[in-house]
Amino acid sequence: MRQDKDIEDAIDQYGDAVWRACLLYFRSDPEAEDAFQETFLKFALNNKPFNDDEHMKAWLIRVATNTCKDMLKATEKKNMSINDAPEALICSREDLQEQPGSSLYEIIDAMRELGDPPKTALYLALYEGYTAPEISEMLDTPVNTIYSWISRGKQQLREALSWTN
Amino acid sequence: MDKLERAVREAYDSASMPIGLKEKTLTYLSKQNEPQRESPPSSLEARTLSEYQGQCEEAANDLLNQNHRAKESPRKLSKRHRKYPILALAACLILAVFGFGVFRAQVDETAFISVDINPSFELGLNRFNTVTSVNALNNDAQEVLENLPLVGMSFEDALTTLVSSESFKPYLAEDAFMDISVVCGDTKQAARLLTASQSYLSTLPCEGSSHISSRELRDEAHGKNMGVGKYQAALKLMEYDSTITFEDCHSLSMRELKDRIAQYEGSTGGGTEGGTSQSSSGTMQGQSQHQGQGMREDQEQHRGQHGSRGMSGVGE
Repeated sequence: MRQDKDIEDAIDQYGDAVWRACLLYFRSDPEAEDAFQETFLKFALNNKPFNDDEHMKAWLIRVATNTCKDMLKATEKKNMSINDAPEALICSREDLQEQPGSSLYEIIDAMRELGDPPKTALYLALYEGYTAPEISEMLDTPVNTIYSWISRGKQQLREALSWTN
Repeated sequence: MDKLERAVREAYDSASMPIGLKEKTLTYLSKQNEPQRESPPSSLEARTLSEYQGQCEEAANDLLNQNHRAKESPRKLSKRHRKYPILALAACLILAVFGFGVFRAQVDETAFISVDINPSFELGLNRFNTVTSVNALNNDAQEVLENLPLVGMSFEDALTTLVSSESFKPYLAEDAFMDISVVCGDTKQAARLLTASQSYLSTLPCEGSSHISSRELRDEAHGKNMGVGKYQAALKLMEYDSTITFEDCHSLSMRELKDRIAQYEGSTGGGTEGGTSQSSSGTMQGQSQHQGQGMREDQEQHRGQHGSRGMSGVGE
């Protein structure tokens, strides 16, 4: 297991990036927190050295997205219905609308509602600023497919936000 | 940075790690390191433990079932007078399967060659690189291919026939651009087809590029009634100019698409694609006669405030 200091530094440096990646998949904080903790558990258990800080960040984001996808699959397998989940896990749209900056949450919600692909590639391109070849390496997908996903994702996001012009 | 990108960045800039999550995470990680836990496991730990237990139980059950089946199935002694008809039947079955396999090898398409100039068409090939189908993707291609009996020819012969046909020659002018995309799940076959395509392009007066693409991209291209190369170029152009649609791109030749992309990228001429598509077997092959700086400039435009980064060996 990695040293406590290394783990703490990683959370300080890339905790926000990992958190945002988790928000791509989960609306409720408890679920996103679980995914966040699981990601850093995997980081702690992985002793392989990273080439540089950017390498570490890319690794963390990739692990976070994979962890979220695995958790969602596990939830689907257990046939969890929204009615079964405790109310605390559900963050309703009404709650969001009362929060400050709700238009910003509208965009985060719209991103979350996109299918995957193209949502992960779109997020990595639009927010994290990765290029298509870099995203291709992160997601182990042909670069031309990444271009296609980004283009399709932008179109879908515009439609979701009603930005048709 | 366009409006959409700006809006997404503003939205996610406002989303930070909740206060206290760092401490909760460090506490959770320290518990993972402890040999014994006094407090009951959290929902996450319970899920992790139960999943592990479930996997172990599943593996144990599989093992038990295998042993059970082994005990249940009795060994039957074959009787002497049944031996020869059974052998004959087995031989017939083997021949039938073999024959069917040979037939399937002849007809099963294992590779697709997409050609875009302005005629856009696709050749389907079997594992022996024999043309099994020809699919015209636009009217120009239909006219070109109408009287060309390419099915049954080898890939090389089909290309030779195309070059020497009067209906195709006008599209091979010096200022034209031909894109050849190879879609094939077999790495070796893909490599052979790529080599053949490159040799073919080198004999033509026009510019061109050849590369390996994915089946997924091919499916998407066909959904837009385009060849793979034209579809990729259209996507690139639409990234620069959101007012352009796929319908607009249908009427443009590869040369026109390339030139318009080059205008945005600030380079001269065509041939900016490096052709770095990956085959389904996982190898990366980028082959092109023309490799310009346009791609790198495109990447630089999207970096914004995040600066440059080194990417190598990302994986879990």
